[in-house]
Amino acid sequence: MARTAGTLLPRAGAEQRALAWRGYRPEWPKLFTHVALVFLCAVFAVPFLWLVSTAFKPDNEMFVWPPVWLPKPFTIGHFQQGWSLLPFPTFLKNTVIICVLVVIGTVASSSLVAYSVSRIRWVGSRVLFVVVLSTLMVPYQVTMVPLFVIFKDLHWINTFLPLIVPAFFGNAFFVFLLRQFFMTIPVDITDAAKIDGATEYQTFFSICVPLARPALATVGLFAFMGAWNDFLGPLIYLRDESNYTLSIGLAMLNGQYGSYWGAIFAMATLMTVPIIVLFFLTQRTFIQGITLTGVKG
Amino acid sequence: MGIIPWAVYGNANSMVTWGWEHGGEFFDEGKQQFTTAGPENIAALEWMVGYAKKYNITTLSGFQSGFGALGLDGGFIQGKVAMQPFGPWELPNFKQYGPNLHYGVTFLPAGPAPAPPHSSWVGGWCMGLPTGAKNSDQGWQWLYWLGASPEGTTMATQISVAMTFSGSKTTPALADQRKNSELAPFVAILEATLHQRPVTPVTDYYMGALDRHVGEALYGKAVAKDALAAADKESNQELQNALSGK
Amino acid sequence: MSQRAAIVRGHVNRSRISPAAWRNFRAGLLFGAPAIIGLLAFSIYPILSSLVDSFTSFDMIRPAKFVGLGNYTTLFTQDSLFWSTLYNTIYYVVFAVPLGIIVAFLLAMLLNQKIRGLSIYRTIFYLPSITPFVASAVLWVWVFNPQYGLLNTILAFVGVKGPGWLGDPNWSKPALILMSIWGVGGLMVIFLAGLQGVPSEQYEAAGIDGANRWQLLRHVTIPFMGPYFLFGLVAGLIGGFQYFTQVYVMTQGGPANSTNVYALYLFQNAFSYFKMGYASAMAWILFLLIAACTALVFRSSASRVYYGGS
Repeated sequence: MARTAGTLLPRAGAEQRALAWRGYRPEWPKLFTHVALVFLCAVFAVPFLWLVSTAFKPDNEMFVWPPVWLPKPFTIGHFQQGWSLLPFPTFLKNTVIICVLVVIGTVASSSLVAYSVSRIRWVGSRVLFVVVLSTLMVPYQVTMVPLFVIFKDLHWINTFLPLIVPAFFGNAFFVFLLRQFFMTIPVDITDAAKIDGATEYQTFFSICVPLARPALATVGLFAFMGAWNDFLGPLIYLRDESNYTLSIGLAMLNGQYGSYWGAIFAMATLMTVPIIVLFFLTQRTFIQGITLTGVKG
Repeated sequence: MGIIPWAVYGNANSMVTWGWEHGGEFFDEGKQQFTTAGPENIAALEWMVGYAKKYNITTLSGFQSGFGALGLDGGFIQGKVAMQPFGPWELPNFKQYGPNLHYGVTFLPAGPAPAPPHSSWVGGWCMGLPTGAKNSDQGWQWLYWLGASPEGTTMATQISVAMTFSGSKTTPALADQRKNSELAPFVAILEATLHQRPVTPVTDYYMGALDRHVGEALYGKAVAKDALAAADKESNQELQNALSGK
Repeated sequence: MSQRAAIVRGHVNRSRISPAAWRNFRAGLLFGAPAIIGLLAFSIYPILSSLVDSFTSFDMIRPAKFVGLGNYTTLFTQDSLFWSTLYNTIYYVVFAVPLGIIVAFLLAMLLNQKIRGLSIYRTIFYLPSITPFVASAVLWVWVFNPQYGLLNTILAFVGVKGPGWLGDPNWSKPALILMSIWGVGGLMVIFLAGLQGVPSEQYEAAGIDGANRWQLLRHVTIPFMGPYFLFGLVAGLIGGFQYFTQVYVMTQGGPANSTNVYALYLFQNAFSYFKMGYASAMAWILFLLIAACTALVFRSSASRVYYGGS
């Protein structure tokens, strides 16, 4: 086992040891880490690699036994087929519009509500949190139909509104997550700001939000993913094909009497690309967002 | 494998296939009761269970699932399963994923005597007109057009690849299909068909119950006789509830 | 209450509620307004509607018929599937949720180090959660194939004969549990965000005092991750009890009823058997169950979870 920095300098004075520990992050033995990472990568990545490789296989190689890894004739036909079979560019445009708006709405509203139930000491904070959390506990299968009726009465069916508007009113799951995060911010910081005359809004916006960057980025990523892959919502609320999203398009390739499996895998692969890119970008906030809690004794 | 008996579109559909093949019946119209636990059906299920035990159903389901999304057809298309009950909608799959497959279409083999020589059945979708519907006359006219008129039945065939509805032996669509060498055997089978699944308000429930109990029998968790009796009991209860106005 | 008493006695004394409390109340209400409005608009009606439905017999085509507690009594006394699906669901929750949290945490710890190519590793671990389910269902069926699926091939490498997984009633639930652990990338990302928040001064202070790696883990990392573990546990419970999609697409409850989970049976009752009243009763029983478990978790964690803020 590697020795900790502390024991490497047994005789050094307190300052030197403090310096040795500066910016410490827990570490594991390098070899173990690398071996574990490579093994786990294989485990986690293989299904996805199979998906991608199958998207490039000709039809007769797709479901053979044992499975083929490198497609013999490298076929890009499925991508062309998928793209042209259905109006995927339209689906893409629709999905992007919905996702962007959902992310904005979710991040904004969920953080506000989370702040309310975690950082403001008011009578209703606990009640509000409990009620919001409870909405997650009722299976959607039974609330689906009444909710649909609400949107029908509002004449929102066949528009994007049922998919976008609720996002601006707080998402229970993310409110919970952000609440947990906000509660880890030391009270001293916000108290200090309040003493200096900051309003609640200023405290929220100038202190809590910057500190919460990794958590907010996570919420944004998850909200985007949720909206991007959402199938049931668009299925229920969108009627015209011109309004359909990518996930519906993907499902349309899966017909009752036969499926275009090649096109399905090709389009599914394409659908993961924006998320991977987004994930990469989100990662940067983690790296930059190293703790700045700076509470000096 | 020669054949995988329970791979006919799920346990429930397999059960009715082989039950009818052995000469059994599943529903008594007069008494409005499910009669799954008749001796012929029990014999059919025991035949399937025998297969399951002999070839180890767990291994076989692994074998089946290995054909990926093609599932049931996959084994047949890859040439690993010799015989399988199918419907005409599978033909495009054969062409797309198994272009080199040599196959033929014929009637389901007759079961042990005294089973009848033909036991094919029709399934698929049905459309109904609920009591109290606002435009029941127009609704009925539309149903008639789609299911029995020359134009409607022809259109239905063109859209769905499958066979037309059996209420219209004279439809031109069937005549066309008779000329098609691949579909002709299916037309002959359709014309000799005797069975369809019970038409009740609780048929979905019944098929679900059958699926579960037949599954338990196949995996050795229940005796064939008891499994079918349980399916009957549960479904008849549901049917009574439904018929008496819930 | 004290305000009421004050008014009754004739002392309308507004200073009973301090201006600070008023301010906080208004602020809390304002910040919480989106959720309050949203609840009223989109949640209350559907949820209450389903509660009302649970006391009826309702096939969604004809008007509902009031049956009082009939659905509930039938569920508890006559429906063996109610109990068997509940068992399957609880089995799943008991294993999948804690294992998921542990694995996610270990992965997050692994990835929280200064290694080259870290971003790539992180992305790869997150991949299973990204794949659209339409395609990944096919994938997983292949992974679990007993003869040559990925899993049994790996096991064969180490000389173990793998079981029938999705085709074997005894192994189907473990297979699903394993599959959900594969998808733990989301929780891992959350834990990673949380690990960023552990103040390094704490590590410094403890390290100077001569703590070794395990003590650091126990006394610094884990306590600071408390709020996130709580989140993982509660969110896991809520989601786990409602586990549905994978079963619906991959196993349909089989083989031999082994993966028939509560939410699947609920779905079938609602949309296959047209018994929406019955399904609503099932939903509310589940709701009460989840709420009870969640309350228990919150209560028992109150003393143990350390929120750096307070």
